[in-house]
Amino acid sequence: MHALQVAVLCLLIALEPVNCQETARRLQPWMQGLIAVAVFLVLVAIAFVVNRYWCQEKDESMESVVTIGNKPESIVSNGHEGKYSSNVADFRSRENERAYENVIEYDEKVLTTAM
Amino acid sequence: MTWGPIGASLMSSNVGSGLFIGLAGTGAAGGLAVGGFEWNATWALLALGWIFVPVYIAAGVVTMPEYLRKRFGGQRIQIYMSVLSLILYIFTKISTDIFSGALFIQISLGWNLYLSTVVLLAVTAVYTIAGGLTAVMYTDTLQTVIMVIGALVLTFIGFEKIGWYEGLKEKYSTAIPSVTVPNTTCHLPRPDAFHMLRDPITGDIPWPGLIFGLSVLALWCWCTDQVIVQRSLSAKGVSHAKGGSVLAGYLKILPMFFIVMPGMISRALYPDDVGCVDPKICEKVCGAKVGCSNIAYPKLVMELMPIGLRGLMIAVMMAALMSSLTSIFNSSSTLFAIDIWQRVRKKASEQELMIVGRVFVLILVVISILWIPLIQTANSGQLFDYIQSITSYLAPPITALFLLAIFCKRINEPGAFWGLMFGLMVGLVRMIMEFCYQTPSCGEEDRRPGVLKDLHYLYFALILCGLTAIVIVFVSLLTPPIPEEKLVRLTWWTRYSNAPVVDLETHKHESTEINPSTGENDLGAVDPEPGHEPGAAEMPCWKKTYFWFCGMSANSTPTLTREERAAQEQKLTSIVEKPLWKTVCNVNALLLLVINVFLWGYFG
Repeated sequence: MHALQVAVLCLLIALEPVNCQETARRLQPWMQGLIAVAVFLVLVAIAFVVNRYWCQEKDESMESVVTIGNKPESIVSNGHEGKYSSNVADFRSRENERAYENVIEYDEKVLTTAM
Repeated sequence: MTWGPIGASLMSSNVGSGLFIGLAGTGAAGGLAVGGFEWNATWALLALGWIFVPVYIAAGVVTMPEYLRKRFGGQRIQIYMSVLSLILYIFTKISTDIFSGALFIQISLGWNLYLSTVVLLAVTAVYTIAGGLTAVMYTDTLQTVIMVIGALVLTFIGFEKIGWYEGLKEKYSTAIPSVTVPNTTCHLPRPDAFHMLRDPITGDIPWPGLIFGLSVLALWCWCTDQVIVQRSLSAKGVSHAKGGSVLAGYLKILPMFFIVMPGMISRALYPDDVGCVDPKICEKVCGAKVGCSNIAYPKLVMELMPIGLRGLMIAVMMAALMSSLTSIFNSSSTLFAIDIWQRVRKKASEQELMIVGRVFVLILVVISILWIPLIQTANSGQLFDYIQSITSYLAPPITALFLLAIFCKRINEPGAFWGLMFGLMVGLVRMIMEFCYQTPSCGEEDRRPGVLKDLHYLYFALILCGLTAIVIVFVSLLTPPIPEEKLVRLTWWTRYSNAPVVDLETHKHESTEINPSTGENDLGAVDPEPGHEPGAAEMPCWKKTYFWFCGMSANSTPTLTREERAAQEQKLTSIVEKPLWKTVCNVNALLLLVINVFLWGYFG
């Protein structure tokens, strides 16, 4: 009985704000504007990400795949300064564990060839 | 041209006196939604700068029909496009601008309509003929400044009189004329007058039409029409073209505030004149039985502005009128001289082309004046409606064609031609029906057929565009495609390619094209090269003056070697940009779009 009373009370409290909702449903104009801007920016962000992903995928398929096999030795390269901080382990060759490949990197305008 | 004059010229070529009268009138009659026509233009302007202009520059074209000729080959599309564009200019741009300018003078100064027309045109013609494109664009910049300042002054005075935006809302909703037609509701202002997005079926400007249908028309007007594109093509580089587009986009935000809202203020302050519904009263007030909303703007100027500022407003209107007219005349003469006359007389010299172009402008003016009486009574007396509905019957096939030409490599000449013919037939049917059945005035029974009454012209534009696209694709798939090597630098996908250009026509035309483009100003988008060799023969005095007045070089252009010509052409058609400016343009464009979206949301 007590629980039923509490339930009815809760229901009445929930129903009460219906009157106020009528006036609050009409959004302020500037609020409408801000929501529109937010939606638009989200769409732009999605388009940007899709564009990046789609273009990057095209680039990736052009790079030749180098070894990513297991690494029995840990090798430290001479230096990690500047842009050439790639791990020497990336240059491992498939043929011999002590041999290293020359990586062909397609870096926009600069084209380095194998030999 | 740098981005400043380009942006200003884009804005003022488009905002003519027709827009002042028409936008204000439709705003007075229907409320804010007509401002959406202006705000929609931003998206089309950005499409122009980012998508269309790079392709046009890469293709190395001067006119739009020329682009179609290079893209598809053959002559019929080029000639058809030129003729159709010229007809559209006469119907929708020249006559409406002349009519509005003359109406304004008539109401503010009391002169005879045709006298004021002749005076206006005489002044305009002089500096168009003398100066060509460069003169037009620099005067456009000045005229934009005058236009914006003058209109803003009127806006502030008007808002102050009516109690700012809240006052406008209140007074507009209660602006009812004292004499009404019994048992009708047409004297009441629309309940959704302050909303831009209106009911898709019963609204006078339904929101799907305003967003999608209008985009079709906007793409035609801003991206494929000679008047506007010619301004962008005169840019120093692609970045300047993009910057010009962004500036024009910002400027196009203003007409809502300084044209549409003053139109509504005018109706709120003078409901008996601007909002009249009784045919007898309307005829007495403005000479048209259907309605007098067209006089909204001139009426406001006459009543509110003190005498000195009234003169400023007349200067504003004349600035708007002249800037649009000069741009249209300039582009029309280019179109006629290069696309029609040069087809007919292949060996025409530069001098002959120049004369022909300028004589043609005179003919255009005469035809447009003769068309004015028809405009006065068309489309329930709402000028803006008239312009937009004619455009929506004739322009959508062109939009479909250009979009497909740029983005789809499979489209070929038969597809393009038959699609255009099909679109023209359908559009003409609707247009003839529209002219046959008069719009009923207030209280009259609406006896028009359903397809005319219920299908809004914006929806019709969208449907026509879609149907034309389907026909183009269908016919193209049935006929052999254009080989890849002939599409170098002519589509979006091939715009950067550096393969040798194989012209679809004979190479004879290659040489005749380079001459006009390095010749005088208004036939080409490129300024003539400085420093000609001074080795010409002596000419009589009158001939030198004549050449100087018309902007032609007295000495013959130096003949370039093949390598020099190729190098020059490569420089002209390069669309490589500096990365810094590219980013600046992109950021600005994004900012412009954000502001645009916010305004749509605020007033929606």
